[in-house]
Amino acid sequence: MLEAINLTKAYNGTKALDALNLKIEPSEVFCLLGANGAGKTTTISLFLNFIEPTSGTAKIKGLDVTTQPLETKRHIAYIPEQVMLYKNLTGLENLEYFSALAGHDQYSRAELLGFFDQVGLQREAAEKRVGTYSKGMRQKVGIAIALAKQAEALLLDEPTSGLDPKASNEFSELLKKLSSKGVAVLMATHDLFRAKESGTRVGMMRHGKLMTTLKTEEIGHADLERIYLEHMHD
Amino acid sequence: MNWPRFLQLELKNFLAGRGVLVGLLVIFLAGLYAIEHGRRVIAAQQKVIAATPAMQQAHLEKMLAQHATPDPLNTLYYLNFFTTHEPSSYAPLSVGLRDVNPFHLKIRILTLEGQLYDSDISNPATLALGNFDLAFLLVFLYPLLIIAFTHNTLSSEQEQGIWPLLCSQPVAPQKILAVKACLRFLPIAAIWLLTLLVAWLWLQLPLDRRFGFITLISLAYLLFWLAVSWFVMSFQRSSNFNALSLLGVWLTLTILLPAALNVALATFLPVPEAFAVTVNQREGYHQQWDRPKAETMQRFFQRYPEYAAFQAPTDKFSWGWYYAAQHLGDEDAAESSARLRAKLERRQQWMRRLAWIVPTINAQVAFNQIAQTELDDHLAYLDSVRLFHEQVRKHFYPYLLCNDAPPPVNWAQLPRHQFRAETSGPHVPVSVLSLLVLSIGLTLWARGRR
Repeated sequence: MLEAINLTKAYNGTKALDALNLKIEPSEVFCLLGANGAGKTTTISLFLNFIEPTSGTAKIKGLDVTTQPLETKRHIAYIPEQVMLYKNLTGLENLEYFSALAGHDQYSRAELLGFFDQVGLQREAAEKRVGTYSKGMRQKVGIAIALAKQAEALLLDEPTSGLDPKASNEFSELLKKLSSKGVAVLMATHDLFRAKESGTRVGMMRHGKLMTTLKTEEIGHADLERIYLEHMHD
Repeated sequence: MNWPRFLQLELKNFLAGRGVLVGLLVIFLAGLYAIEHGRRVIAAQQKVIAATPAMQQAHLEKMLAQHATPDPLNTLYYLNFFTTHEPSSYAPLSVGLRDVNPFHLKIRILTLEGQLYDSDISNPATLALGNFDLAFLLVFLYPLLIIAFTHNTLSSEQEQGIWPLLCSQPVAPQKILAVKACLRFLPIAAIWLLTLLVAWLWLQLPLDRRFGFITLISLAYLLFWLAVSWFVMSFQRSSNFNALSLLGVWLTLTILLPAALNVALATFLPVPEAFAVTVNQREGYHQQWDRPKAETMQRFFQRYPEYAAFQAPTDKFSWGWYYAAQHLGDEDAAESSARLRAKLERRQQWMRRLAWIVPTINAQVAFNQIAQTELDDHLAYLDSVRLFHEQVRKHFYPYLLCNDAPPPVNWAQLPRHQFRAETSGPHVPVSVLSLLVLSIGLTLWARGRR
């Protein structure tokens, strides 16, 4: 579903991402772990074609994202670390706005509100202007937008940052549900606990390199933290 | 993608922005004021013009009462003939130079060149600022609203952090951006069209080609500013950078460049002829007092051989000789006067050429041409006064240039002046074209920059 082949991004000779090779199949939830500046966000930005790779290829459903940016974006949904929305519109209208852009015009009001239920946002809030929302509420609208897009792959850049533990937990459940429906997920995160809970695989990144990948079912929470710290150590 | 819903929400979001509705309301109210202001300025002129025939009659009666005895022809020396430059029905939209140039002149049958350039007493500060008419509103203030609404089309999304989410959608960001910019522009264009509609109803403008031209030229001008904003947007800089650059462009195009070009025209095309006209006409006439009367009459008869039978008395004053001498002042000033006119026309020509590359001048000149309030229109009025002056002179020459006692003058039937030319400006389609070419050029340039 998502594939990186020798994917490299350099800024003035410094490699932000160094020859990443990665394949994420449908139903897989791949969590990228690593310190700030390890190359997690760069990886996601490359898949979104926000930046051009220095060399190598990022593919979505077998299509090169640089040559077919619009077609590949049809299949993915993106949740940034800080979901920012149109302040003068309500949550519901923002959802409609981005759904309209994504080409989904068939949603009824009830269906749209259904997405808010799924992400745990109160219906009253859906009718309020986003200008009055907390960060967590905006994050939930961002998740609802991704759900409504019915994407086959999700690109998540620390999506739960700023969510309370309960909301975070609900989000993990949601990811599991989506993964069981065949959605492939690439998630950058700092949350080891969450990665172990909702991920099927985790990858450790450091200085733009993917150091190691592990299957979460084969390790315990304590192991994950130990391995993470080992890799982060100089 | 679902365009109708997207456009609807986009428009809703934009209109709910701070100051947007207020801005639109203010510019609409300013439009109403501009219409009324233009209407008042022109109505005041029309009032004077309408009162002219009665004023002429009262003046004639007064002069006859004072000067008709013993010689009724004595009256002619004091008698003013009133001429007026009637405004076109579109003049209230663009008062143009009708405030600087006189719209009425009274002339006597003395040397004409000394009488053509009189003007009314008016407040120079008011003249310097110009009139707050629709043309001013369009040329100066509408661009500011376009700048205010569109300068941050891209940058506000980037600064608020919405842009990445938009870019992750399967629609080209360029396309979304273009739609957003157009959508911000549309309410402004709509308010402008509404203002034109109000002007049409309020001023009861005749619905002809001119209304179409006004609509076209103004929309093309507004589009030009959208293109400028779009061009600045293509630098992908911050909202502050965009706003400041656009204000710089606005200041350059509305104030600095027109002022600079005005100075340039005055420097490269000076009119020393204006002074020459004054000197020549004065000397041309006054010299005649020192010359033998026969010589003066000889020159006069070259121009008007039909009166050659007249013999001016050499021993005493005669009106026939006096007006012939007056006319020679005009004859002597004819060449410099023609050169002055040609020079003014050359200035106009150059200004029109420069207008192709300076949209603000372009729009203003086009408005003035449609409203017929340009310098050309004033020159045409002066030409009509010249013709009328000759008509009056020729009306009285048979009485003045006769050897026997002249027949009684029929004071009830005197020549009357009328000048009102209602035509549509021929340069307007080219003006529209030049604005569109500039707009498209900027858009393509912006595209090439990405």
